[in-house]
Amino acid sequence: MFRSALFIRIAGFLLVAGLCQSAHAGSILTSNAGVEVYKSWVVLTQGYSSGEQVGGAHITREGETASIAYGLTGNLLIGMDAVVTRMVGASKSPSVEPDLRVKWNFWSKLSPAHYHRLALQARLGVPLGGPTNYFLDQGYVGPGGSHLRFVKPTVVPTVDLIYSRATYRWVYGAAAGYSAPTADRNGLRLGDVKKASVDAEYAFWRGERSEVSFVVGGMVRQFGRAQLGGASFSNTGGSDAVVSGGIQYAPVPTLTFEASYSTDVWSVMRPGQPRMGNEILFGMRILR
Amino acid sequence: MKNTALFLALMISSGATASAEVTKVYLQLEGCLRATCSRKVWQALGRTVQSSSFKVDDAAEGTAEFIPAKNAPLNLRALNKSIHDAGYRVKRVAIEVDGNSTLAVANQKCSQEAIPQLWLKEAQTQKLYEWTPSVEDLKRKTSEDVQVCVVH
Repeated sequence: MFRSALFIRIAGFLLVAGLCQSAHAGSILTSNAGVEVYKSWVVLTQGYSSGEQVGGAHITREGETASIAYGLTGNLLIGMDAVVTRMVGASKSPSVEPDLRVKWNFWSKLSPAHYHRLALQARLGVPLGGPTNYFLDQGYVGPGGSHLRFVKPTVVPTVDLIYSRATYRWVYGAAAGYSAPTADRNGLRLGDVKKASVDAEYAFWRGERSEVSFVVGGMVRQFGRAQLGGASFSNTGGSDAVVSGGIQYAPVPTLTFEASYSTDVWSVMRPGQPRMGNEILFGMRILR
Repeated sequence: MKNTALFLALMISSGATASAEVTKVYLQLEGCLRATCSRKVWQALGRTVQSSSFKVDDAAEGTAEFIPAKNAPLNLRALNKSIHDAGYRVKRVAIEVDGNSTLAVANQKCSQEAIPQLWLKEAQTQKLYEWTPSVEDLKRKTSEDVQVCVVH
């Protein structure tokens, strides 16, 4: 899981930084319906490593995500993200996947003791570099005799509806999302992805300015079948469920660190669809 | 009221440009939980605040307080709008003023729907009353040297 030098550097940096300092209001690794900043910037960086399996192939997906966002108002945030991914075991060059993001907190019900918020988040990703998505196609023989077909969509539009509720020590919420990758230049299209998730965060320790929280979550995903020219690959697609747990530390209101671990607890994937194993994430958020 | 008189200004009214006579401002905010609120409200208040005086109790009451900056006008209506734009809502406001203040809030035009509930700050005892006075109360308080604008 930690084999690549890149990931070791990322994880090392975040861990060392985490010992020194950290931010609040919902898991930083899970989108919530709030806008973290007002006429100011928020920067989020995270390192991750996850294992995947399809057929006899084991692939480790490692990388880093960097995000910068600006709160136009308390209800509207615009952001840019860039995901750098390295596929260990797939002999593919690192990919960079930038995207543009808008989050609109269109409804709030506020009170001094709690709030409810609903937000819509739209994202448009533009994959660059090597592909990071693939499936197993026994009728295809790629470089080295591999049956893995890698796909790089032209753009990946995604929309999420997010609900968050917060009380004094709890922040919890739910989200539903849909992602529909476009076809690559060969006309090969990945299946769409529907997902639903819940998450909760409990601040179990609060200092004068600092805070430590437990973070838990669960997600169900459904993957559609890959397609080529209108015909679908019958052995792709499926569903899975993932649970996660982690800890968040915010030494000051403007800085937060979070580490979480996710694992696949239920999976009904067709033979050609990669199955997620375990994933570890480290994240750091800075409000400016 | 005594030396440290209490000025209940109906904030959003009229664009009351209060002055350095205002010694402290108290806000009760809705939706103000956890540290992000503190940060965003502080950003929303901008230069109107002496930053070292600003603090938010983000417990159940969501109470913020600050001392206005000396060189920046305190526009209560603008303050309310900024906090609203930041994603929160002002439920109550109280301002504590110098006893000799000539702050003219009594003549401001106020409208009931534009104004959060009134909130009285007892300067002598530092006790905050969660009480919304009626118009009659306001008149009575006005007669006791608590100047407020009239709620129509």
